[in-house]
Amino acid sequence: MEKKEIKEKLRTFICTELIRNPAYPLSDDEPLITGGLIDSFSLAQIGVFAEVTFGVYIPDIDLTVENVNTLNQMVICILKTAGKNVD
Amino acid sequence: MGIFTITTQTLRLRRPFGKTLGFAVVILIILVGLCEGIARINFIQRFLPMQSIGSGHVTIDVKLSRLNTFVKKEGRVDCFFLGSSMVYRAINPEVFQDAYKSHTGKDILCFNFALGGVSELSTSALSEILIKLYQPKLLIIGTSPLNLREHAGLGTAKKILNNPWIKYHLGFFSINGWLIDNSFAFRHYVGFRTLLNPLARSKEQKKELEMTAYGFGGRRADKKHAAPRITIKAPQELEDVKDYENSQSNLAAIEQIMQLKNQATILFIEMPCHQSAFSLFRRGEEDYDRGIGMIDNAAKRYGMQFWHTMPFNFMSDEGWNDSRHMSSVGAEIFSRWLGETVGKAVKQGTLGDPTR
Amino acid sequence: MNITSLIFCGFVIIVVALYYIIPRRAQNYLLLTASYVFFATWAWQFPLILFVLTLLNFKLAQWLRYRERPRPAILWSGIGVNILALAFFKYSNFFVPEMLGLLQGTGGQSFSLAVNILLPVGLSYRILENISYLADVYRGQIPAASNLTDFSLYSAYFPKLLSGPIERARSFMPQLTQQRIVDNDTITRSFTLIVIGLVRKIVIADTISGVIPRGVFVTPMNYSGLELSTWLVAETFVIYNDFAGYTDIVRGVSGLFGIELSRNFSHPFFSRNFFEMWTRWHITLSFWLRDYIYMPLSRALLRRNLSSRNTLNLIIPPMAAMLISGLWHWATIHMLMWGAVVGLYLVFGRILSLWRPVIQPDKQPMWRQIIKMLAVFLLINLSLIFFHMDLPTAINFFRGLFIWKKLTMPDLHVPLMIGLSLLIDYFQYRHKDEVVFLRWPRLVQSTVLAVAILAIFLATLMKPATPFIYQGF
Repeated sequence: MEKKEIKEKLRTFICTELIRNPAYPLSDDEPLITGGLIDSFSLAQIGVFAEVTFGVYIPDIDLTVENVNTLNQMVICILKTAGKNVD
Repeated sequence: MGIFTITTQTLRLRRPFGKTLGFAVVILIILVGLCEGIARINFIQRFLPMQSIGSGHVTIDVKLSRLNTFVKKEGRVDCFFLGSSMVYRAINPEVFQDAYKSHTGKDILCFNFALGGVSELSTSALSEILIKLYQPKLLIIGTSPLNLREHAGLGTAKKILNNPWIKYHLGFFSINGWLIDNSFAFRHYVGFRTLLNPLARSKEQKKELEMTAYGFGGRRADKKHAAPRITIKAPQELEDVKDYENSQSNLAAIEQIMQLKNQATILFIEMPCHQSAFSLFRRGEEDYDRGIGMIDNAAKRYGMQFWHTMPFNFMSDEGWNDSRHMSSVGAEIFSRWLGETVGKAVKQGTLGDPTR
Repeated sequence: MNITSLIFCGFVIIVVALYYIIPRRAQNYLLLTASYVFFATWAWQFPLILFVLTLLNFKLAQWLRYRERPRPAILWSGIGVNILALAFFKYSNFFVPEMLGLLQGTGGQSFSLAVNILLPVGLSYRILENISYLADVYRGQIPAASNLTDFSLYSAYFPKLLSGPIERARSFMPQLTQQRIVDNDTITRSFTLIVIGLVRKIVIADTISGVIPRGVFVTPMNYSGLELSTWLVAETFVIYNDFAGYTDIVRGVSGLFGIELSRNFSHPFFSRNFFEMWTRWHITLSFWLRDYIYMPLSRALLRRNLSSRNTLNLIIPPMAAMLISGLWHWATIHMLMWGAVVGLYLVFGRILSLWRPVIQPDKQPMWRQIIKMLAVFLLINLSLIFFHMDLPTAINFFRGLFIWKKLTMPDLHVPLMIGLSLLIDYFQYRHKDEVVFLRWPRLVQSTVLAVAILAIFLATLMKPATPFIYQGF
């Protein structure tokens, strides 16, 4: 799966399910957790979404503010976990 | 690397270090010095919270403040009155002084250092401290079997006896005690902390209003009762009095006061109470007399004088606010009687001359 | 050895001095020895109990992954043993009479059983650390420790021994093997934390604690509603400053060894919702509950239904986490009640948020943020009623809150100290820096430090030291 596709699917999921505003202009580097859009407890949903959508299991230890605070970081995390090239 | 640079495997301290801490120490010294200096200025003291020893018993702070002013003005204290609220409300030093002078022709300077709610335990400690600090010639201790109950004034006694300043003067050094004794700023600080408590604040205001310059609580308004009432309200206290038992610790405290006889003339007097007070005891007057007998025996052992005053027939019910405390009328009568009686005793040589 | 005592200060000075002089390879041994000595000052039995638990968990972890394959039986046995140890030392006098009562068919305590088991200080924290260690090794997130000294030090490290922070092995243990450097900045930061901690504990917490009437959480019916409200809020600030003060002190002390401990509080009273509250209050416990209870449960439930409106996911993970939190604090009905109430706050908070789009709290109007902060603060205080008292007393307390028979002035120590606490929090919150004071001009820093030292000294004189509240857990 392409980086762009992962990003767009994540963006749609986050805006619809977590931010509950499908029209929200979520940028790639906008801080989600530190910016107060989602809390760290919601990372479970992101983890399961990654499992269901991309077939990638992100361990809880990697679902942290440092690793998945922005869309870009999430994409990198998913690709790394899947053993793919992040570039 | 240079001097004041420390390097080990772990520690990598480079110069300069410790500047902030150094400045802080200097500022601290200046701050403390300034506070102490300002606190000692008489004019400024009027605007500062009343000095306190931090015992939680606000009356003692007001007393010490009055005593301080008294000594500054008069230069000395010849005679202290000590005891519980029975003494605080019954002995007016000004009236006593007049009566004493009219009998002996001599001036005597007296201060009432009695405190409400105390027992002989605290009176003993205060006697020792007042003798040490002011070298009075005469201590008149008003006592009663009502003060010999096991729980009489126990809470207050603990507060006073555990106070660092009190302990400091009884020989138990502490930084706290030393500071209270020597630092004006610290005493004002403790006073400030005391005032933050609303109960303490209102009590201090009340005591300031009712206490005279001689420590007497006479400015308190008299109650308008037809006859003296028993005013002990707390159920525990009523039970205590009913099942009156001599408190060995309070008796021992009386004996401790008696041991100070080489440092000052000590006179124990039975503080009068209204007859209605006997009904507080389970066996009435019998219990009361038993308590008096115990003080008598102690006085005999130590070769001390213990003056009996009951029945005090010199005043009517008008002289009583309640079964234990005199009204302003009663205090006038009793203080005059006491001044005259002490004056007579000094003239006859049965009591040491307390004047200088 | 109380960490605000002069003896502890002397102890730290000696250990720190030796630490800086001895070779790097001996430092861990020194810290381990010092930790066991420190623990022994509480009771000679404690180091023995700790050592047995340490050895047990060390060995269990090594057996957890056999040829890189996880062995769940060992994991669950390990967790079971740790919980049993906790149950034995901490909960015996609750559960044993209850269970025996049930066996007798009365459903309650029908006889008294004298249980006098010495509860090692800090055991609850050790157990959580052990469980997290075993779980992380099992998941392959960290390798099992091969060095018993290092693992023992992780377990016994004296700055965190009494009341946490609850450190994860994955963040703590690497610090034991790497070179530790203590420079000017580290020392400055460490001392700043220690001073802040002492101000919180001695000046604020002990002062307020000294004026709260002892009977208010025992016989609340003797007090008016205004008094009960005042003392409830006061006690909240006592707990906060007591625990946050402790954490700052131990983090500062640990910093002197070049070892960083996790932050445990982040100005919680500025939280605008309950999930935010739990990322700011007792952070290491909250994150432990999140990582080992909430997340696994939530993920399992979300796999069935990924929607935010998944009812089971909205209810079960927060309730489970908070009930366990209540039980962890103490095994009493009222603690479970407290956990349940806080869990319900989380559930309802989440449900309410489902009906509208998220607006970042920082972007909301200030008046709205303040209202939310006050609402969260009020509800947290109400939940703490169960934290402080048994159930019947708590009910009386609630009733009493609505009876305003007299309006009495509060002791002014309370608003003064609360003001000071909020002031410290505000500076830290505004600049997102717990040692923001270090950014001030040197003269201002020195003056504030001088005043802090004086305040600590004066507060110490006015009141005897009180034990740390969270040492009881």
